[in-house]
Amino acid sequence: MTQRAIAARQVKIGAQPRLWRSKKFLERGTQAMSTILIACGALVVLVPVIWMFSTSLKTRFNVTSMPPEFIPRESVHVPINGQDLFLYDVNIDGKTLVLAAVKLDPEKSEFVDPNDPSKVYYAPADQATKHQLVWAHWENYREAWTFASTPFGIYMKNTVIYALVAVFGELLSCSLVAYGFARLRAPGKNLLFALLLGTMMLPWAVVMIPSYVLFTRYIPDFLNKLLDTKIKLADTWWPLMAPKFFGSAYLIFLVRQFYMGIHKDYDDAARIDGCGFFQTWWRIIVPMSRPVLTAMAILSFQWHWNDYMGPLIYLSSTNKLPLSVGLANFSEAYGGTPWHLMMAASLIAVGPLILIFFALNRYFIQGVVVSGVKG
Amino acid sequence: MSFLNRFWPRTRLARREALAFYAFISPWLIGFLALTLYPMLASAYYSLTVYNVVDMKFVGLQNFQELIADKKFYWSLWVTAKYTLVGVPLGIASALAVAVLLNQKVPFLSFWRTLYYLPSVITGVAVAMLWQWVLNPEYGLFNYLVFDPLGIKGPRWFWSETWVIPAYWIMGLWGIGGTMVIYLAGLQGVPTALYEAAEIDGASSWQRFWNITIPMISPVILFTLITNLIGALQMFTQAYVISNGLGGPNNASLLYVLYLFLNGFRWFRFGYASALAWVLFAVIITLTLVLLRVLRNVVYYETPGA
Repeated sequence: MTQRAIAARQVKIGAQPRLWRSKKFLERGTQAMSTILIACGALVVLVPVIWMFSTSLKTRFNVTSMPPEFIPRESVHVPINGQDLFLYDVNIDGKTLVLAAVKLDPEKSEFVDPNDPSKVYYAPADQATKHQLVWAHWENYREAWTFASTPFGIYMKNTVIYALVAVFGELLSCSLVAYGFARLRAPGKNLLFALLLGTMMLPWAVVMIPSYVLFTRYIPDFLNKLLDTKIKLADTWWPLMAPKFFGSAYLIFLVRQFYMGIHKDYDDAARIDGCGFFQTWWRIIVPMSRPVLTAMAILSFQWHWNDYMGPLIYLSSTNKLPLSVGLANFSEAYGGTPWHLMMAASLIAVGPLILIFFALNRYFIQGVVVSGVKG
Repeated sequence: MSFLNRFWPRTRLARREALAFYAFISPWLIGFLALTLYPMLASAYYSLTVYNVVDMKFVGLQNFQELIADKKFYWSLWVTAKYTLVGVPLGIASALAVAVLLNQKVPFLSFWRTLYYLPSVITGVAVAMLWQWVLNPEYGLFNYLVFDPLGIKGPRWFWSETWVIPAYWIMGLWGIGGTMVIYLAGLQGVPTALYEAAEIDGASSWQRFWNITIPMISPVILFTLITNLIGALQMFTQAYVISNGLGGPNNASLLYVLYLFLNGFRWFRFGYASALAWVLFAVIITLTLVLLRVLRNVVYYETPGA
């Protein structure tokens, strides 16, 4: 090899970086590693949900079997000659047969063919394992749903009404208030906006007790004196639903941020065309804010669907409770801890929410993003 | 009067606009006065009384004196501190880690994001049910998958004084999806030019993470730190459901708000519960202001003064 050939080869090697140090390779490698880690993490996140679903399809007995199994299986017994016999997988001469056990014995167990009980087989007990069938007990859902002390149908109805009323009230009030804060100039606006932001820090524990007294004593007393009636607000949905029509600081802030991003020229154009403030809001701003209003509606729906503390404080009659409180009461009402039914009941309680989430998950995430990043 | 004149809009148009402003915000304003400001003042007053729904007696600072001597008050503060001081940083760090991984041009981004966010949808009672079962000492999946292979008998979690708070950490970790989604959006807003420039300068990926990623999303981290902290200090639903409203075993999960709730709505000590609520408010305000002040110089804002 001549000097020149060696030099040329060296140049060639130098020009091409080694594969494992090339940028593309490193990037692909990081990407692959990240994907693997992400997938593992996602599995960890998902396993409890799968476990919940799997448990909800088992029998009370199978729930506590160890080791735990994801696929609900159980041993089966069949009636043969007036007796209930368990089915076994029996190894006979190297072949596995499904047979019903008449008598188990370490030396010589007796099995019969379940299809033809006259065929008798003998094998040592260690050659037989219980035959297991995949068996999903969908009726658990019916049992949880129809359990008399916790009427989930009524809970579901209450929860749906509460969540829808809350969404409607908050959509209306928050988008109105947000328009004021985003667009209109007035003395005292900055102070009021600072107050609005300040209330987000206020713990609910501070307002909880006076609100309770207000709604269960002062307001009904006042109304009764005024109208000469006997209204009671304790154990009704009024104290929970009415405040939703007065806006929520967090959602007002969320919507205001979006309104701020709409160019003011739209308002001006509408004004020139003769729209008042209200019409500008309703005809121009609201139609342009569909994404944020959807995101807001979903956040609100989700919160109120899951709301526990409010109903816990104000409601007591069984037929007025929402799913959250009903679900929490379930195991006590049933007696003991029927895990399979508790998981079925939990899935009934969150099922509609999960379905909505998968249908509209873009908006769920948008809501969180808008409120989080721009804050 | 000249003082007032400064605030009074000059033109008819401006006055109309101001009027419209107050009309538009009136739902919130009424709500604020009746459902926030009034309850705040009332609660401040209740905290100076002995009040059991029926009788109210003004007692001055007696509730606060009782509070200083109340061992359960300190205990519930300690339990809450244990839950918060580990739970919040743990949640933020994991959410950031997942977000950074997802930001590596991973395929099926929206699919993964949806999966990680899923637990945040099912907050509340169902989560309490689920984790009671997953962390069941005898038949739970967690002990079976994590401790049995190590040959160690798993802890009794919600049924153990030592392990009940760690159980809540784990449960909280499961719900980091919301925070993660916020970080991911923040990360996607970081200009790639910064990374390219750093790469040309020979910065390693670790250096790029610490010197570009972290500073660029530090405002988002500060925001989530404060909101998650405020949320964790007020953790209630799961602890109430899992411990049957008692904060057991042996008060080991007696979180502050749970103790407050018991005082208010089980023992109907509205005055004492209000005093507890104001202490919580003071703690939240102090922590928020301290965090903002301490971290103000650390957090990087793109536009000065923002």
